[in-house]
Amino acid sequence: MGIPSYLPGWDPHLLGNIRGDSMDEREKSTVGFLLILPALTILAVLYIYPLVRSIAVSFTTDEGVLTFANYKKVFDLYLKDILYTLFITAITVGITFVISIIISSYLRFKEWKFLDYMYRLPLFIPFLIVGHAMRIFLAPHGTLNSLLTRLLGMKELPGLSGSWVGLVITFVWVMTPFSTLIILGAFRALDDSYIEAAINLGSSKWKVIKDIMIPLTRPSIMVALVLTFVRTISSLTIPLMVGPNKPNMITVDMMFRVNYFRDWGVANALGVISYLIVLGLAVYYLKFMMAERGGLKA
Amino acid sequence: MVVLETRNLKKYYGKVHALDDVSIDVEEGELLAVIGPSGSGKTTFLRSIAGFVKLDAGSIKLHGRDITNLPPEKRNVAMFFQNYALWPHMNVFDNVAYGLKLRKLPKDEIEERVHKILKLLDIEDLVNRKPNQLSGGQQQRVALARAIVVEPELLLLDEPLSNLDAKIRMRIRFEIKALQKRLNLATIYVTHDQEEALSIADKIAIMHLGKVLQVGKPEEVYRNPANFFVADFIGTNSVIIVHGKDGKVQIGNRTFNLPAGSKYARIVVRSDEVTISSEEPKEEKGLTISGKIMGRLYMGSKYRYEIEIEESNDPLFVNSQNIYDVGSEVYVIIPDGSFFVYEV
Ligand SMILES: Nc1ncnc2c1ncn2[C@@H]1O[C@H](COP(=O)(O)OP(=O)(O)O)[C@@H](O)[C@H]1O
Ligand SMILES: [Mg+2]
Repeated sequence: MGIPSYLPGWDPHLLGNIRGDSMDEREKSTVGFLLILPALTILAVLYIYPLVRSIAVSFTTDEGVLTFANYKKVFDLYLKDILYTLFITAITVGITFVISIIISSYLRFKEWKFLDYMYRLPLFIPFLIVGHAMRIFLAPHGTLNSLLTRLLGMKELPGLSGSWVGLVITFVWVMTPFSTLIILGAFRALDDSYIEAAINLGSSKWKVIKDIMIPLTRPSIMVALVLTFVRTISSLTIPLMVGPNKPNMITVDMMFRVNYFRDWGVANALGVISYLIVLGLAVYYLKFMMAERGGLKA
Repeated sequence: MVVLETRNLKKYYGKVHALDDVSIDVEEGELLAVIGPSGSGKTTFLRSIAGFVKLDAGSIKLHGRDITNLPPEKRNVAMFFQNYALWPHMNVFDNVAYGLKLRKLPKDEIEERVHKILKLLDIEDLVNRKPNQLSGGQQQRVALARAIVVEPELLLLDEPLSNLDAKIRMRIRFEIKALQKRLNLATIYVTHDQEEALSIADKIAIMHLGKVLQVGKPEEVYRNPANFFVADFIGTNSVIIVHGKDGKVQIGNRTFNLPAGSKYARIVVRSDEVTISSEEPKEEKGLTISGKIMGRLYMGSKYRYEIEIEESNDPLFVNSQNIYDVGSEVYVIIPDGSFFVYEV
């Protein structure tokens, strides 16, 4: 009772439980190592090797000489894009969080089958189609504008398909289902009595969400936010199709660098910077999880 | 003065009548125990008063004010949850203070009231602990503190002791009673343990299949049960079925008339209130049945005997402090008021 649910992380203790008692320490660690070997191999081949290569390439010239030129170029040409990427990602995470909480809370309190199915719909639509649909929807003479002009008699707006607002709208549309899926799952796993105890003492629904439901599901919410952040910052199709031409997201810059200039050095330097941003987030997340576990255990 | 008036409460879950025309009152400072077997509608009754169950019919008044359609957060009744429902992310202080913070009281008043109530319940030193650092009994007290610190008009307790072990249960039972009297707080106490109910209630309501079968003082429902179910449910009993002949049921020294259409009678015997004797008693009062001891169990303070009797296929189970040998012929003497006869 009382420990909120969250997506299970890899837990080294699991390994401890399946080991026999008769083995000595050395044998135990060998068996342990063998058990995680497949996972380690995949990690090394698919993740660590490309990462190391990427870092190596970003610090060398075409001739293989050590250089910082790629990073200098990145800061000269793309500093604005890096900040823009962070800005778009942060706004997307923020809005996605708010909408996910609203949908999850609604569905936790009330049954509405239609919404329960509808919010998941975007999960099944490929990014490419979403991008195209959003372009039409947000274009200067697109669906959104014609609706606004016809229904509200408003003057036609410039159209959002080439602006950061349109990009954020599209990102939120794509990211919300997944994040809602995680948060709603956690909300539904909460025992009714936690919620009813608060309402019984005079709490409104909004206060219950703020004081009880969100704090009790923080680990799951963190997972939802981190995944939204990573999926947004690493998305290429959507900013390419919906976003403005300038400024651009880092992923788009990387693609241009490779496609038009065959400039692997700068592309990799941009990649390394993305890694660093995500790494920063990962460290924060791990710290949070440790505090959370420690807090619950102590 | 009446604190709570419930009138003709009805609640259906499909075909199940969770509440079937329930009308019960609670007076100022009174402890009402609601008892009944599992599934009889006790929790539904409490939850409908707290506002978590939407009634199909009926009305609820609290201090004369109609609260039937009031949302749960606006009713000033405090509910104690069977699993305590302490919020694991808050320490004891924050758990108890939550209701006061919602009422926007000044900070020092909140602190004062929380400490007062923790002191009253003798858990002041736990104030900074998280719920998972507390024993079951301590959690139980914190949950109680959280419910009463807001000074509710009515306290609802849903099987408050069911998660504690038997020894602690006995002690806390009386603590709750003393606390309730001290605060003079109208309380509904739900339990499936009839002994617990008898020992602490001012008034008992017995529920079965969504219906209230009887409401009365503990002594009343124990001495004058309204029907077979109540007689059997309350107390430690032995039930025997005796078949009738020519509209009459004959058992031991007594004969009872059966109404037309009845085939047999069920006799409820209070197992602890009998005397066993190896000689036939002279007195004609009460009910005396002769039988043969088939088994004996040692229960510490008494023996439990299984006695075979001629009039019924069911053995009679009775308790006595005296020791008799298995196989011996004895007389079981049951005084008036310690057995009840119901025709079927
Ligand atoms: N939410 C519900 N949905 C369907 N049936 C319910 C629900 N709550 C209670 N019931 C039914 O109503 C009856 C009374 O339940 P309850 O009030 O919990 O009994 P008790 O607390 O006396 O054990 C039971 O038959 C139970 O199955
Ligand atoms: Mg119940």
